[in-house]
Amino acid sequence: MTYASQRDAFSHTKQELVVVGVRECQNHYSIDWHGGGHALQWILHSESIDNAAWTKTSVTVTPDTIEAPDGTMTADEVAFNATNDAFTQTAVGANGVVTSRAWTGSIFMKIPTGTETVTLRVTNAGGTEAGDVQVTLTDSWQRFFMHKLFSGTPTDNATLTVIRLAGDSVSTLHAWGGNLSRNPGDQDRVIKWPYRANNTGSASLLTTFVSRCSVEDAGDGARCMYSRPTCQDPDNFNAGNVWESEPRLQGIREYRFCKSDAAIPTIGEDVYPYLTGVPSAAQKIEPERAVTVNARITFEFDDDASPGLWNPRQQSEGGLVNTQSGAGTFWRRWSTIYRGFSNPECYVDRKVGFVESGVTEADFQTRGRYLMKRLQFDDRKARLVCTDRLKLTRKSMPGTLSSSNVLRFPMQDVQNLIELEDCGEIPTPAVNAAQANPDYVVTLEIEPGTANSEKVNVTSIDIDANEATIQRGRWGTQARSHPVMSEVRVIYEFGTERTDTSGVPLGKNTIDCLREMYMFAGIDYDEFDHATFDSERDTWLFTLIDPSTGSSYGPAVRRTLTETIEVEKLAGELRELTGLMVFVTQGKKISCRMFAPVVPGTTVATLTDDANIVSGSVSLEEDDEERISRVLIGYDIGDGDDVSGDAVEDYARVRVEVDASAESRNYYGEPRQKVLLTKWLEPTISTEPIDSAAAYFTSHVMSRFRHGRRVMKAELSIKDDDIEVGDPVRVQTSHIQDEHGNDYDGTMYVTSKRVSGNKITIEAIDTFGVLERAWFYADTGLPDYDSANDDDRVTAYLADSFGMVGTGTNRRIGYKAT
Amino acid sequence: MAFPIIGYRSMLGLSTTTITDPGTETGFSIASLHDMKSYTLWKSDQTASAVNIDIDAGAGGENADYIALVNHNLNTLGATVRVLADTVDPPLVEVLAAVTPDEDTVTYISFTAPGAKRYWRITINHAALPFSDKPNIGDCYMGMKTTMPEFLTSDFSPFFTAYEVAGARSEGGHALSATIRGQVHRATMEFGGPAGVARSFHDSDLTTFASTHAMRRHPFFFVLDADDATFDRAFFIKMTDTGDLMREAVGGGWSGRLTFTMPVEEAYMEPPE
Repeated sequence: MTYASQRDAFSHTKQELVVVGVRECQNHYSIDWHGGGHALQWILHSESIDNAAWTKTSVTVTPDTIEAPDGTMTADEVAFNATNDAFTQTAVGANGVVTSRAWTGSIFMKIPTGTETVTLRVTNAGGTEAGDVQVTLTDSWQRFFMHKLFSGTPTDNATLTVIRLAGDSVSTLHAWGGNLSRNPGDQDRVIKWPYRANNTGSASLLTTFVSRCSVEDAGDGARCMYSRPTCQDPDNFNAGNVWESEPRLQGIREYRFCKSDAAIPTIGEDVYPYLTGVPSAAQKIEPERAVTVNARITFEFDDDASPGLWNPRQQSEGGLVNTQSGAGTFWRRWSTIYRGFSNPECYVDRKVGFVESGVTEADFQTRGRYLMKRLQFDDRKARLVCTDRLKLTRKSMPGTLSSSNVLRFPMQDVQNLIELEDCGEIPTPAVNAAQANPDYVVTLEIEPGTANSEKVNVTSIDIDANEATIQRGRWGTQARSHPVMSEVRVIYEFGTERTDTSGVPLGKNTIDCLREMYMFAGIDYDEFDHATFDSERDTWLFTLIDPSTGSSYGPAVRRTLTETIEVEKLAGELRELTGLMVFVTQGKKISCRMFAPVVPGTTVATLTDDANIVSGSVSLEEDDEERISRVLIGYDIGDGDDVSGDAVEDYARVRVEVDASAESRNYYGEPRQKVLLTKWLEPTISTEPIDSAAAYFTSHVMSRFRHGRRVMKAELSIKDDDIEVGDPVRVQTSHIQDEHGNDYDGTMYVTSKRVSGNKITIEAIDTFGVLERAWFYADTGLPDYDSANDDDRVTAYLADSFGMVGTGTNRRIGYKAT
Repeated sequence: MAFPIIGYRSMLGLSTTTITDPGTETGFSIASLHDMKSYTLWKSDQTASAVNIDIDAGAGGENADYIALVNHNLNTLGATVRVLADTVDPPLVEVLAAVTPDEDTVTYISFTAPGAKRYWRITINHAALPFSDKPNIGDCYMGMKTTMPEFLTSDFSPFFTAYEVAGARSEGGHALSATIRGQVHRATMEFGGPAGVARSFHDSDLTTFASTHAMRRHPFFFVLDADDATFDRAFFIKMTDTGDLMREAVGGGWSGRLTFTMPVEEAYMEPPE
């Protein structure tokens, strides 16, 4: 059964999996097995298939055609033409012989589109013994492994080959990063090591080790625990590569826990039934501010005596492990072995699923990824306190350089390297900083505030050489020469550079700015739900900005950040301006939702008294305090960050929108004002109407807060666990009624969710009377109203002159264009 | 109707015993086979060939008349379990013919004790190799069983199973769902009722069980009635953490008989059937 069928079954056995990923060294302890070249990585020019170190058989290699798994433009294209076409490399040197030895070879490969097959082979040079595996290539990078334990007969050297055999379908593939190493203990199995580059060409330079721990084993069993706090050779600690696909190759060890009061899910892995509770502060969207309160979650575990062998993986792969028996409990030792958490690389994943025959971990649904904050002990319990990954936004940007960190040498206007006293103070550029649309841009301003000021974008930093590669004359400035000791500062530009980068920059979409600052804060590109960000942007905050012509349409923002500010504060300003809710989805993605009408085609869950809402759980709160009748926005701060911006007087322009009728004695009878002071509408957007943008934002804030808010709190059964924070839900309940006594049937947005036992507690804000009604041009393919489903009926049909849609029993209030 | 059986002795966990397998899957340990923790798995790295778990019980040898497994995948794999014992290495004498466990949860299989032998082999095989997945076992006991000389009292439910459930009811009054946490096996076992068990049996068998196992809350296997097709299933249970093992004098004296009352609970929560 699948997750969905178990969830919908009347009875089921619910379980939770908590996967805790902590930093683990990927070396094997001590050098005792290094003899005979065990620990060497034998492939030379591992990232250059075009190099002569690789023997090509009828294949054509084009070097550096696409981005490699590590983000560099070093992956080669290899064209195969016929069966037995191949590229291959044989280990060079006396210790590379295969006789009675086991070897593991690996290489990263992908193809442009679709799926094709090719064979990865580990063989001796003479080809008399071989381990072959046919692998399926896709359009994503995968690292493929193969191993071979050779007999005592062959006496030549180990070889790694990629070959098109009969039955393989490959035509053109991309390849990068070949590795070949001898297995510890010559074990007859694949032994995976994090990829190690060797871009030299001489056998005498074979100094790249897959395992590089240099500690001598004292033979007393008191070895390290493969963690940083227990490491005895910190200089060679092996944290793997962040861009590899498997946790272990990223330097991560995962521990799996499940709830102690339910059957253990048998998934072929150790699962410790220590989890006794998950008291959590639910992730919550504050509707009046659209600010997401980070979920704080505490995993409560039982402790366990005699945790036993601590590093079974290393032992089963032939590595030496700590054999000191000692006493101690699981969590007491765990906390010492992994003291201090390496966030954001370390993580806690929470997954929910059901126990059934044949269940695998893939059948469990992710319900969040968290950062570890602290581990507390209380009696015999261990409590792991975590928070969601939006906490990373507590980081500040753009950062500062020391006042003494100035130009070390004079710079000419054509120079693309900058040398400061300490380039290590420059924020790390995005991995794709040199490409067309980088995740974010690190900008330096040289000689700021002078006529000779120049802004440059940093694409890479070489800490060892203390220099940074830069792009000159950016963000409306021109490349200029600068004298030695010139002042340099880090700034951040939210905006769009002109094609001619010396032109005045344009504004940028607010949602794109948000993503940029989050990525600057350390959230990876892949952690975003980009489809939703894009769709919310293009539906509700559409902008069209043309860097070549300079034309601009829509409510774009523009800001130059010269002082360091917390990313969360910056994001909060934008979210307040736009009404955007940002949150972490159950699928571990950072996502967003505009507080706006539901778009046609959106799947909306329906919650009813009969089928969903738990008896006696509904409560309502009508909050009039947040109602406003006028909005004041101050913008165009003039000299930007030189003034505080805390007072309306700091701004050159002010716009006020008033709902006069709401303030009359016939209605609410009092004015209530909301003030927005924003530095995001700068006058440098010379070619676009910032007044229009200000008008757009004020009118939307006005309409959103025109009425007080109504929040419903209710419990649901666990079968409704797919409902997420940020989701619109259609609620049908007798607990809310209209003036005629009809049951409520309307749309709410889920602003909070907490799972406890077999129940879910949600809070949802009612959109009725809060959102302006909107109508949409119906998508092609939508049927006539009478044939449409309920979801489409409430969103996609234009009313007649009576304000109604449909006929007969289907007739209801529709959307009238006036 | 057979007397209840307790399986707590196991040669696998003895300090004098050495256990080897042809290959342990990366990340797993052979020691997990006998750590009394059903949730830490031993997992073989083999699928293509039979897996021999070899036990060297030391010079003195060990005897066994049962093998019991918990939290394994041998039923799903259609794998068989066979036991050999001998004075030579590898052992050649079959003491348990290949048999497929009836379930993946708790398995108890008895055989005729061959007498103390130094070398034992548990062979996991399949009629049509390879295995569809790598064999794994949470815990394995192999040793001499303890057959109780008395039956349990009549208030002991022979099904010895309940489902722990949490449910929810809707605003409209309907039962929304039932979340079954799993099978619980909780009862107070009173062997022989107020009349207890013979003092001689207590001294020869139960004292060791009580002091080295039950009161240390070590889990053990339990079979209520090996002769009954309904009640011959095995349980992996332990004494409750807070309960007391009651051994009281019978009729004012303790030379003839002692009561033996033990509150127990599941050590491994099985999913609902």
